[in-house]
Amino acid sequence: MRRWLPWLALLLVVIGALFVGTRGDDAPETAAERTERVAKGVRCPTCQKLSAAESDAAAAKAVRLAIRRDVDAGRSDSEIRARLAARYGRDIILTPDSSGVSGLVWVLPVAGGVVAAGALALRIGRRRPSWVVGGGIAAVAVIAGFLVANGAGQRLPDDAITGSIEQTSGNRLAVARQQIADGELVEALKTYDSILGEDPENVEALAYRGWIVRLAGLSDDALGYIDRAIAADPTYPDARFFKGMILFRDKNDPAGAIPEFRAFLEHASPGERTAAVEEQLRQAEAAASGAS
Amino acid sequence: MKRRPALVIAGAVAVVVAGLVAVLATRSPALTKVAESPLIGNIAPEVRGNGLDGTPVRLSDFRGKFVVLNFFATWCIPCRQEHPELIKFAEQHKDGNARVLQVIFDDTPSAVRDFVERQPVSWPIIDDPDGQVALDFGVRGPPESFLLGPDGTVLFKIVGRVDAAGLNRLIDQVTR
Repeated sequence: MRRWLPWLALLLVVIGALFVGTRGDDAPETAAERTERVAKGVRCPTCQKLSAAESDAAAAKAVRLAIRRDVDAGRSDSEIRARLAARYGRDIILTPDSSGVSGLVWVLPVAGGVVAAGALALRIGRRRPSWVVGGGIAAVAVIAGFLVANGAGQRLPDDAITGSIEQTSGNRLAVARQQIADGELVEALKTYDSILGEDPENVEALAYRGWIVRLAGLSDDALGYIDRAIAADPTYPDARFFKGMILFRDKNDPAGAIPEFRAFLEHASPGERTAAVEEQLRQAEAAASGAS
Repeated sequence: MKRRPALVIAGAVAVVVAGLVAVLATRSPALTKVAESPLIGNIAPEVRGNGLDGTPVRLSDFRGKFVVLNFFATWCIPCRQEHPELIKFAEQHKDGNARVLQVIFDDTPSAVRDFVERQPVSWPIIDDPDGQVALDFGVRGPPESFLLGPDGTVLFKIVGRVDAAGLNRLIDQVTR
């Protein structure tokens, strides 16, 4: 009987873990709380490092609104996630369900590890290595690893291993510009970070990194980078435009934006961008005079 | 006898590497970046809204023609760069079987009106103030475009700026 006691203890631990893991959280929550909880498990479509609950990007706000509407319509968490994945792809989902059968993805690896460790301890104690025990441990490890890898959410595109050719700052800036033009903002962010790692005062990298961060809804962080760019080179027109846009559109400070737009127009070469900034300046002046 | 396996392996590796070089070196650069989307092959979600002139617009009214559904913003530089190409595309197909429909992404109708006053367009532009049209199409940020078939099926999703030649190539790909 005593030989079986450790196995009985292990079995009780596994059953207990499975029971807790599949029960889920029964505490009632408001629609707003549930919306936030679901949104925390969904990636911001634009700024993929943040959840839709954390980001102020337009796409993240749209996701939160859609989640709230689905919550009010009585849809389950799984249905809400499935509807979002049907639009954006599976990589929009950050975390798998933590209750129900899907909750096993969190519990089984732990339970499997407990069983494997216990079996190994027992077998080592008897000093009789066994291919059965070794095979069982290996099988548990493989299954646990598979479940965690399969259920832990899709790998981010920027986490994939890709080859790259060593490049100078100059052509890496060109690469980053092309990445922005192609809508690959996360990749562009990585490229700018690699440039700033070697050249922390690179004006273009600072300014455009700030702009990408602004597009992710983090205007204050964006201003930090853009102000560094302006401090390094006050005549760099793009940084002045970016600062003007943040002040005007995000901070509702058209009066503060006006000198930035004017600085851009003073230092920029005539072209397509000039027309865009002239338009923003006109709107800022109209807004500032309307407010005064 | 001992050298044979090494020679065989070396030969196999050389063949694989040569094949990779041949494939990568002869790939043509993408002028438009066609992307994956769960919507491809399915009927596009309905889009309803008012154009800048207040006229009601529905995507389903365009059935029977290819549609370039383009999400854009005036603050988006690639969007502004692709704008003349969309004008060119619309002009090429004005009597034909393709149309353009634009949706405003995180921008204001007044800013868009000012923009199109300088570069007039022949297609409707719909406002999407709460971003739900963009969400329905899984748009992450402008510019993103969808090429829809005459039956409303989503054929391609293009991330980044488009050009008329690229759009025409995609249509040719489908109609061949």
